[in-house]
Order: sequence, then structure tokens, then C-alpha cells
Amino acid sequence: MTDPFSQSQLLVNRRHFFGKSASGIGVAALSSMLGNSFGEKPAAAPEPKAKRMIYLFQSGAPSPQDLFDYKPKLQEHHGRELGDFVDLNQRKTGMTAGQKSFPIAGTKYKFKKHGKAGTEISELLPHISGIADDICLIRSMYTEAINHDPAITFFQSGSQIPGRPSMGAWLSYGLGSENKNLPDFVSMVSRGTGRPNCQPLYDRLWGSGFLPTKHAGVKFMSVGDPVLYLSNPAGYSASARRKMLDDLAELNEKKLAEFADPEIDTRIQQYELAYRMQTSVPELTDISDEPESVLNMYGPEVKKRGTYAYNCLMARRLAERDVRFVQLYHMGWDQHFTLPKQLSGQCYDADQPTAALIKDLKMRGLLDDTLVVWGGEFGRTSYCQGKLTRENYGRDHHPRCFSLWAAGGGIKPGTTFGQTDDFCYTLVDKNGAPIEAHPTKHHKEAVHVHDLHATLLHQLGIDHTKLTYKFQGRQYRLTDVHGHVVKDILS
Amino acid sequence: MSIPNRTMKRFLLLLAALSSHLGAEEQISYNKHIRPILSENCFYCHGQDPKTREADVALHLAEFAYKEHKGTTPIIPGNTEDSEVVYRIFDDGDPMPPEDSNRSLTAKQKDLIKKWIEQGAKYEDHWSFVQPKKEPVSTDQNPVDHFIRKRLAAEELDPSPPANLQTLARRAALALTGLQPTPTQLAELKKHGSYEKFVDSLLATDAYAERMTLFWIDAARYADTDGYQNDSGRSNWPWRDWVIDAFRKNMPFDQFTIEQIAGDMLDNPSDSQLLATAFNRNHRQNAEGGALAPEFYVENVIDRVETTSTVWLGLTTGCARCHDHKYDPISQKEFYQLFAYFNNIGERGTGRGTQAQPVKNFSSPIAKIPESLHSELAAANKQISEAEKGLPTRLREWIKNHGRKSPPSDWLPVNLSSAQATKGKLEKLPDNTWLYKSSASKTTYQLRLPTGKRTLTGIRLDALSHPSLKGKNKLSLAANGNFVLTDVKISAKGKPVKIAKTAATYSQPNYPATNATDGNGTSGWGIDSHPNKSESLFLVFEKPLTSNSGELAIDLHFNAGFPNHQIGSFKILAAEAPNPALKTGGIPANVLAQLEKPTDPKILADYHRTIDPVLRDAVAKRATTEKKIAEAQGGSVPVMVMREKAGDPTPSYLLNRGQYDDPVKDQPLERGVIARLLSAGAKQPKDRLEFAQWLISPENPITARVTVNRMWQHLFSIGLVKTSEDFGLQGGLPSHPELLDWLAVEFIESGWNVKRMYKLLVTSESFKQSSKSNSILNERDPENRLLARGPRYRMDGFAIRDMALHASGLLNAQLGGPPVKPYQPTGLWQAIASNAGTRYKPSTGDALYRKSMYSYWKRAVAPPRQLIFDGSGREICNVRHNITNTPLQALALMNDVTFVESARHLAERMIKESPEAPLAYGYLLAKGHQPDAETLTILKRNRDHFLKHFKTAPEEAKAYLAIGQSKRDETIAPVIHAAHASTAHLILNLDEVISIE
Repeated sequence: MTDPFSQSQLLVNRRHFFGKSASGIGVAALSSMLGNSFGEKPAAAPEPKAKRMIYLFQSGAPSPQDLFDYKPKLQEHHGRELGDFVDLNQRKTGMTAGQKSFPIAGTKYKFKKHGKAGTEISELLPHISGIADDICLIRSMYTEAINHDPAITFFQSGSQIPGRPSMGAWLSYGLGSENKNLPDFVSMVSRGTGRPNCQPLYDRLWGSGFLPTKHAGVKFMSVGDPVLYLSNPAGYSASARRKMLDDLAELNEKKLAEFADPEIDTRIQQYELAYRMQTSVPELTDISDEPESVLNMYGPEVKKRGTYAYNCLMARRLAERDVRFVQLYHMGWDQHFTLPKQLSGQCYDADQPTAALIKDLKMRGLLDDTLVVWGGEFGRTSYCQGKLTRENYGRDHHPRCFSLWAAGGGIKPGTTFGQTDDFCYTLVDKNGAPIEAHPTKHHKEAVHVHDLHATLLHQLGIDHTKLTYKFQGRQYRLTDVHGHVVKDILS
Repeated sequence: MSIPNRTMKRFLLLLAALSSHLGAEEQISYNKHIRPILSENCFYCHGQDPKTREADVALHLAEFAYKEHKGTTPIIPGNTEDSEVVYRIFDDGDPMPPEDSNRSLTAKQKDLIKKWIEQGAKYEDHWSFVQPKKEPVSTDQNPVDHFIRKRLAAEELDPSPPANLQTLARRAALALTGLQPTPTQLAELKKHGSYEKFVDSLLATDAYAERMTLFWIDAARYADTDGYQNDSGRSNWPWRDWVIDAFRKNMPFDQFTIEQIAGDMLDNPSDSQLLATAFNRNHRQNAEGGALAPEFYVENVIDRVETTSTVWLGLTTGCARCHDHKYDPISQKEFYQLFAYFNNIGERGTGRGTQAQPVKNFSSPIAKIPESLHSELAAANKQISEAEKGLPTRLREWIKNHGRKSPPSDWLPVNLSSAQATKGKLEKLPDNTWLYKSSASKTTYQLRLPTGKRTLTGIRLDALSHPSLKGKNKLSLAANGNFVLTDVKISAKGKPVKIAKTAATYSQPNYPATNATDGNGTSGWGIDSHPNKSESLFLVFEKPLTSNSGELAIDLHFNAGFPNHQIGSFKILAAEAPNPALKTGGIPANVLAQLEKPTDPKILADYHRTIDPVLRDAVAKRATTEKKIAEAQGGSVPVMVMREKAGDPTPSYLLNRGQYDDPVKDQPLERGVIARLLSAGAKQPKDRLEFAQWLISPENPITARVTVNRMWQHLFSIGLVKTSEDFGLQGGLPSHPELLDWLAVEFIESGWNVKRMYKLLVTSESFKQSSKSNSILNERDPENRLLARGPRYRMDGFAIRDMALHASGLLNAQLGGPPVKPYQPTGLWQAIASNAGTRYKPSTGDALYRKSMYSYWKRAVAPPRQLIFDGSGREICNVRHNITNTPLQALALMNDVTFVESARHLAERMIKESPEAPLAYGYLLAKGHQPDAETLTILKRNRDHFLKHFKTAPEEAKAYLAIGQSKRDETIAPVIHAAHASTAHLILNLDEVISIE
């Protein structure tokens, strides 16, 4: 017997494949990726290196100066005016634009070289330091937005203005599903202990924008049902549900016979899929089958739902089940004031579980075809926001340079890429010359958000210029009209 | 990933079937056949944007395409041999479009282009930019059918027979009102048998107005929060009620347009006309710390331009924000000329919506006060007058019993000569206390106290609780009832009065009273949740103020920036004694003196009034009722509106790459609409009002088309132009262009009569025919664009929930008012909010069952039920929704408490109202007609199964019936109730029940 699910997909495809708002799953994107017309030779697509992606988004913007981009000059000139060393020509947020003084805040943390690669990482991240040889650290990220909302929206959808599909929605649309019992795209949110009251998130970050809503991320909840409305009502057993669904199917089939509307058939199949999810999701979230050794790896918070550690473990379990895109958001990285205190809390949350996830994937042979990304939406200033002391400082938003790392899925492990100037103020090339980076002025050592997107899609076997969707008369894509694959970080 | 061959073949067949049969003789139309091909494949590099034009060759206009260029001519009419275009598209070695362009032409498309050139390569204006004309129609049928049938005949398809009257009644009722017809409505229809009469009755309901409003507020990106970052609440909902009122009155669409776009610029605009302009203030509003005002000012204006363009012009002007439009005749300069109509309201760009000037307070134009509250108010007033009558008696009692025993107080209540707030309003209450009724994060109260003949040694500020305030203590309008007084500044005759001592009855940790007088404008005296009813702040002057000090100016600054952290209700007392005791309670010295030796009975009476428990109780009761009334009406709340600035217009510039900080300053732009839409010789509208008038002027070819197309889409689920948001060159072509034009002209000629148009559409045979399909129609016309069958589609999430509530009898039909919060799974808000304590608090009682259009719309976390059923996020304008079919929808219908509770109530109705035939009745309540025998058999089998099931598991029955806040009818045996509820729930999940068919 053919699988009822894929049959229903066929029906969907047959019905909508060629409309301007195609709503088939995954395959729907084919028509645009293959070129304009059906039956023509497909355009050359890159060889896929990764089947799935786990994006560990650190919301609020972790400080590169204190974690990944060591600047001895900042320590040396701690307290002196940053303007004495660099031309402060970049725009500032309204929070510090009015400051009379912009004193340099050198990090109070020690950095050490790690792994064979000798990647310099802060003492705040001992576990991530331990996987230095598995990651590629990019120190030359840059973006355009300076406030959280537009910047995070930009990172997820390639546009600061809402309404575009998120990266996961694009992947669901472009690649479709590998697991018939789980969503293609799952997002999970955790709150940082470093700064529990922090900058918020928004549904649009995993939304489908103008793509059909079936491509939207399914947010796994940390309280109640992991998937909204998953559990049967109180007093309503699984057997009751089965009976209800059998009778529902019979009545819907009767209707289908009478009205011949293929949507009815799809609906019958979707109820069955819903039923299967009622089993597959609890199986997924039941971690009693995890050996103690694995749980220990993720650290003490792993059994607590809603923690970053728990979400990391879930990410691995989802990856094992071939869910296409898992996106974690860890909140609380917005250290305007009292950075040291907050940052150590954030690192406590994120360090061990992140490293455990990489090791765990590696142990299972999943890292090779799973792309993992860790990073926030922009960088932070080298000057202090608020009062500077030796022990305490804060940093404002800084979009023009920051760090982020990726691992697995064909990314070159044990490497660093790109660099910033001695004051972590602007991007510079290998020879130390400033890079005037802009999406329209590509520089191969600078990685714009669009470039990162292009690269991630490339690893998943998608030419970013080919994955398009026509909306409001225009072919839209994740990378807008920009983006270059960063070939130098690929193995 | 591969496409099955079968699917491919079907596609090709379908394509062939849908495109007109092109015989050798057939005339090829530029608009219909050629422009879509050129637009998709060629115009990006050979279109109107000179910046991206390649080789200086353009094909979008004849004047370019026919022009010789470097020895070749792209198109020579009638000459395919020498037309460069023909040569290049067939050139396999160096083809056009180039191989790396991600674009290519099919053999069929190439042939079409060649044939078109052969036939003379006649260019046509884009169809939607040409004035619509009415093609004559025969009078013996609905004009809609004239056009639909003509096309069907050409396609050699037959229309379907009419649907039966009950099916039709449900279809029309759901499409027009979002609710299925009740058995009473159906019985009435059966009695008179007139579908037309039934339609008239639907159009006369409030539910019709609400349904139309729902479509409109979606397009207007209306929401109850600001949308950026912390996503603060706003209160633009009186505008939503304005829209309901407009549809209810069938306001002509031209007036509807003018008032919403430029109501503020009409002569002596009424409140209603001002309120209407909130349409263009429903944009998101950024209050993120550090957000740059000039940046978001530009975003707001652009959002206005884009929304207005999409809704009225069906044009995606936003594409021209950064560069000339690649496909439509909209230059970047024109975009910023449109911008210039919308940038002159003196807005700042950042800050919370409720304070984003221009803002004006409005209450709902339609909300009604329930009768019960009217009588409650009358009773409360009566209680007050009775309490006042008894005052003299109780005064005597008081003097006799208690007066003398009270300890003296150094503090005496005083009367302020005036009290004003720099933001918001202070109101004086009968007992000489003051109430702040506005919403602000920062404000200053400016109080004036005549010193008279007294010598004052200090001031006491009592923060009082009041029923209209919030939190445990009810001391402020902040949700937690807290306040922070950042500074008190007192001066007499312009000289500051120095404070020697500051103390308070209570202070929140870290917010001591002394903060209020430390001269630091950011620290303050704060009160958090605390058991007392009121709190006092004592300020003792360094030197007594003598009687000739004149008026004291007391400024209370609230600058902490926390929302609504002002003292909500207060009174001022003063001390005359040196070193007044820093405590409350006791009787003022002057009153005590009177008790010893009465000389002025008024002093005693005035004082007694303020402490008499009977009167105070009556006053408090009235305040509670007044609060309920204000709540029922939603009160008067700040609404973001348009208010054109006086004087010279704010200059407008082209912004390079759309960047707010990169204006082309040396070329200020005049306001202007897109030139191609302006009829020859017409003058550019000079301001927003003229712009609005131009939108609905007969010269504008597009607004009427766009509007009737959306009406069509509301009823048939797909517009005649499928891309209802885009009537430009890249948009879809109308399936029935002559029909669209006919309707557009008819709409204008009818005086923009909205109801009339809807009636015309739903009374057409095309709407009325059966929606049964078959394999041939599924193959030939899967989207039902040709309408050889009636519309059948899944209802939106709003209508599905309302339908379930309506069937169950739970639906609360209250019209308008503030948004409500129906059930929502726990944790949605708190998971992503900035404050870990942010919670969604569901409404209680009746408010849980309001129509879905009143659900609180938080942009950061939109109502999950709506999102699952394809609702838009309300962040930007959206006039079209996909209709998807997903497992999450199935889960919501299976398990959402809304549907479980509705099923329970539907079961109650089934058992109570139709004990003989409960199942058929339940089906009727949801589906609008009796079930056929087979359906009934299955429903019975299902019910009987659950009877047996719950009999063996009575505890499960009880648990199942306990879901939802509403009470269960205990007279029904739980097992029977639960079994029927199960079957009712099954009914509510049927495809035919959640569909319009």
C-alpha cells in the first residue's frame, strides 16, 4: 500500500503545484528551483552536504569581546576614550548616542588557545573550548540593523521588515519533509538565567511570511503540550480518539465521494497525521530512554523542560528523526549593564549543553550531515555603556562586526575565519586594512547575514538564488538580491 | 526528489486547457498572452528601470522596442525575420534570456512571441490602468452570470444545477455574516421561500457588518499591540468599531475612503471623521530602547504608503522604495511623492503607540451600556442621596460618641485651587480628592494651593485607593497598582520651598521617600503591593511659610518611565503646627477645636462628610458601577489618528536605497500620484484630502476594480484577479476581465453601494449553483476559476470558532468594545516576552464567547487558533490568505478547549431542545440542514459507542464534561451528556461543517 501521507501530498501538489501560491509541501518549490517552466533541464544545484540544520540562536547578541574575539588592546587601554584610537563614525543607538564619554571596556576574562587549531576562546566557555576542533569560528560577521527587533527579524528572514518567510519556512518549502510524523521545522525557546527579564521574541521569527502557513515553524512549548493542542481532552482516551477519527473519516469519505473535492481527501490524511503526531511527539519528548551518561553530558539542567539544555537534547532527538530544521532561541544575551554578572549566567546556560550537542551528534555520526550554527543578531560595543569600573561594565549594540560559529554539515572544522581591528570596531582583511563591507560591495573576508544564509543553503544543496517564491509580482528569496557563498569556510 | 511523470502530464494538459486555444488565425493579445511572458522573463533587464537595463534595450513600450539600436531593432512589427528579439529567443548558442538568469522561455512561449510580432506586435496599455467600461448585458439574467456563462460556453463546460435552498442559505450566511443560519432563520426561509429576502435579512444584521469589518481590519493590519520588541498594548479598537458602524450603515465606499484617509482634513471634521483616520495609524510602532526616531518615522510613513497602495490601488509600490519598480510604471521618485502625502502629521517615529502623537481619546461609537448597569447606577445614586439625607443625624451621633475620643492630628485637608497634568487629565471628585484618568509613562501634576491666612509648616500627600484603579491596593493605573513619584518640587512666588524632612507611611524597598526630594529626577518614592489602602508622604518645610506666601506651586513629577506609574487618586493636606507629627490618623486640630467649642458648624460638617462610613460606602459603590459602565463601553482610550500639520508641508526627499539617513536633499519632491494612473491633463492632488478624492474619482481606473475583486474573493475564496494584492504587470490576469470591469463600473454607478454589490454577487446563479465537483472539473479547473460549480472552501479560523460557538448557543453577540481574551494554551506569551512574568490572562464569563474578531491581537504572539488556520500576523497589510490543510488544524479542532466546550453545550441543546432526535438536531445546528440517512446512522453508531464507553468509564465522562469555564447542565446524566458531546464534537470536526459548501 502506498503511504497515505505522500499520496495526500501528491493530491496537494496536483492541485496547487502551478498556481502562483503553490501550497504543496517541499516539492512545491521545485518549479522555481528547476527554472521557470516545467520539463526544462534543472539548473545545477550544489551537492548537498547537510540534510538538516540546528540553529542555536543566542538572542540579544552575545559579546564577542568577552567570548570569541580577544582584543588585548582593549584591556591595555581600559578606561581610555575609544575615540582616541578609532574614528567613531558608525551610528550608535539612542541608548548611548548621548553619552559624553565612550571609555574602552577591556574584557575581564582570560582567553586561551584551544585544540589543534589553537582557536582563542574565553574562559567563560570551557566546554565550547573543548570542541574548538569541531567548529569554524567566523569573526567577520556583520549586519545592517542596530535594534533587536529588526536585527533578529533580519537574521531569520533576510529582511528587517516583517512579512518574509523565516529561514526554516524556506527550507520546509524548498526541501520538504523527511519525517512523516513530525513537522519539518521546529522552534524552541529558552530564557537565560543571566538576564531573565530580557529582550523578547516574536512569532514571526519562525513564521512562514507569505509562504503557505504549513511551512511555519512549529513552536515546541515548555509548558503544557509540547505541540499546541496535541493532547486529547481530559476524559478522552486514545481509544475514544481512534473511534472518533474512524467515524470522522467515514463521514468525510462519504462527502468526498459526493463532492469530489480533493481537499476533503487531504483533510482525512491530515487527521491521520495529527493522530500519529499524538504518539510521535510524546515519544520524542520522553527522554527516559537516554542513558545517564548522555544526560550528564548536557549538564544538570537537561531534565528541566524549557531550559536551553533540555532544548539541546531535543534538538539532537529531532535531528535523529530527520526533522529538517530545528531552531533554538536562547534569550538574555543583551548585556547593556552589569555584563560580567549576566554573561556568566548566560554562559552557564549555553556552554555545556551546546558542546554536548556537538559531541552527541558526532558520536552518532550525525554531525557530518547536520549543520549547526551558534550566534546572535549583532555584536556589542567596545566602549562601555553606563559606568565603567574594573569589575563592571556594559556594552551597547554594534552591528558592524561580530562573531558566530558553525559546525558539521561540510563546514571546515577547527578553523577561524575573518578578523576585526584591534578594537573590535570594524572588519579588517588579513593585512589589517579596513573592509568597507556592504551587501552590494562584497568582500570575501566579510560575512554579511545574506552571505551566511547563502552558505547555509548551499550546504543543504540549495542555490540561494534559485529558491524563490513569487509574491506581489516579484520573485522573493531568503537572500533578497544579495548573498555570496563563503567558500573559504567549506571543507 | 522527483516529479512523477503522471503529474507532469496532467500539468501540461491543464495548461493547454486553460490557455485559450490558439489556432493559426487567432489574434494574439499583448496583455493576455505576451506581457506576462515578457514581464516574467525580460523586463528585469529590458524594462523600465534604466538602472538595471542591459545593452540599452527595453521592451516594455513600443517606442523602445521598435527603435533601432546599434544596427538592430528588437521588434519590427510584422517582420519576424529581422526582429532581433525573435532571433535571440531562438538562438540556442546565445539565448535570451541568458542561461545564468534563472529564467527561460518554453517553446510555446517563443512561438507566441513570434506569432505576435508576425501579427504586428501591437502593444496595449496594461489592462488595469485603462478605464473600465461596461459591456452591455442582457437584462434577463444576473449580469454576473452573463459573463460567467459566456466563458463556460467558450470552454465547452456546463454550469452546475442550483444548490438546494438550505445548502445555499448556509453558504450565503457564512459568506456574508460568518455564522451559519439558526433553525429559526431556516424555518422563516422555508415559510417565505425567497432566497433574496433571506439575503436581505442577512445584509441587515450586525453580523454582516462584523464580517466585513474583519476583512477590512485584516487589510488595515489592525492589532491591539505595537508590534516591535516589547510589543506594548495599544487601544485603537474604537476605530475598529467605527468600521463596524460604517458597514452597518452601508456607508458608501467613497465616503468610507475619504474619511479614513483624510477625515482630519475635512472642514470641521466630526469626532467620527477623526476616528476614521486611525486606518493609517495601525502601523507598528517601535519603542525599543535606543531605536532611532528618524528611522522608524520613515518606516511608519512607508507602511502607510504601502498599505494604502495595496488596499486601494492593488499595487505593490513598496518595490519602488529602493529603486524604480522593475515591472510596474512606478519610479522611485514617484514612491516618495506618494510618501509626501503621508508624512505631515508631526509624528516622532518612536515611542509607544498610545503616546505616539497625534493621539486622541475616543470611546466606541457603537458599544451599548447593558440595561442592568443603568439600573445599578440609578440605585447607587439613590443610595448616595439617602446617605446624604442621614448626614445631620449621623453627625450628631458622631459628635456625641466618638468625636472627643479621637487623638488630634496635625494635618488638615486643604482645597487646591487647580490641578493639572502635563500629559493627561486630573479630575476633581466630590470629596475634594483628585483622580488621574489618563495613560502615560511620564507626566507631571501641577497643583496650586492658596495659602490664605495660614502659616504652613508642611505638606502631606495622601495616595488614595480608588475602585477605578488597578492592582491590589488600587493606587495607580499600572497593572500592579504601583507608582513611582520621582520628584516633588514646591515653590512659592517662584522661589523654591526647601524641605527639611521627608517621610512616608510606607516605601517600596529601594524606593525610599527621600528619593522624592533628592533632586535626582530618576530616583523616586515608590509603592509596591502592600496591604494598606492608602499611603502618605510627609514633607516638612525648612522654614514655615507665612500667610503672605500667596499660592504654593506643588509639582509632582512622575518620570520613572514605567507605564502608568502615577498616583491615581490623591488629596493634599497641610500642617500649621511646628514640627508636625509624621503620622496619619486622628482629627485635625481645627476640627477638634470645633468639637470643644463649636463656632463654625460647617467645619464639623465638612470634616464629618469625609469620614462618614455610610456616605463613603455609597460613594464607593457608585464608583464601582461607573467603572463597570466604563468597562462595558471600553471607556475613552487613546487612539492613534492622523492630524495634518498646519503650515508648510514637511519636505520629502527621495531616499537612496530606501535608507532613512540618505535623502537626496537637493531635490525636494512635490506630492503626486503615480503618473500613469493620472488621466491626461489632470492636476496632481495637492494634499492627502485631494489624494483620497482622487482615489475614488471616476478618472482613477483601478480602485473600483480592486475593491469589487476583494468582494468577489470574500465570497468565492479566489478573486477574479487571483492576486488581489497586485493588479500590476506581474499580478494575475482577471479570469473574466469584462465581468470585473462591469462590476467596477456598476459599483461606481451605484454610488459605491457595498451591500448592493454583495447582494448582486450572492444572488447570481454562479454563486448559487451546487459546489459538487467531479474528476473532469478537478482536472480542467482545479481552482474553480471558471465557476462551472459553486464555491467550496474551508472557512477561516474566525468563522470556524464562531460557527462552533453559535451552534452550541455559547456565542455572545455583543457588538464592539475593547478586545477580549478567549482561551489560549498556557505559556504562549510568557515564553517569549521580555518580562518573565508576562502572562496571558483569559477573560472570564461571557467575554470568553465573543466573536473571534474581538480576540486580543498581540502581534508578537498572535492568537494561535488564527495562525493555525492561516490568519495573517497583522504586522503589515494583507488582503489575501492561503487556505492550507494541515495536521495542526486537525489537532486544534480535536483538542482545543473551545471546541470541546462548544461540543458539550451543543450536546445540551441536542438533548434539551430535541429529545426525540438529538443527533439530527445537532447536525442541523451546525450544518443548517437535516443529515441524510447514512450520516445519521453513523452519528448514531458513534453516539451509542460512546454511551457504552462512558458507562464503563463514568469518571472519564465527568472529566470530559468539566472542560471549559461554563457550567454544565447538571440535570443531564453525565454519561448521556458525555456521549452526546462526543458526537457533537465529531460533527464540529466534519469537513463539510468547517467548510463553506
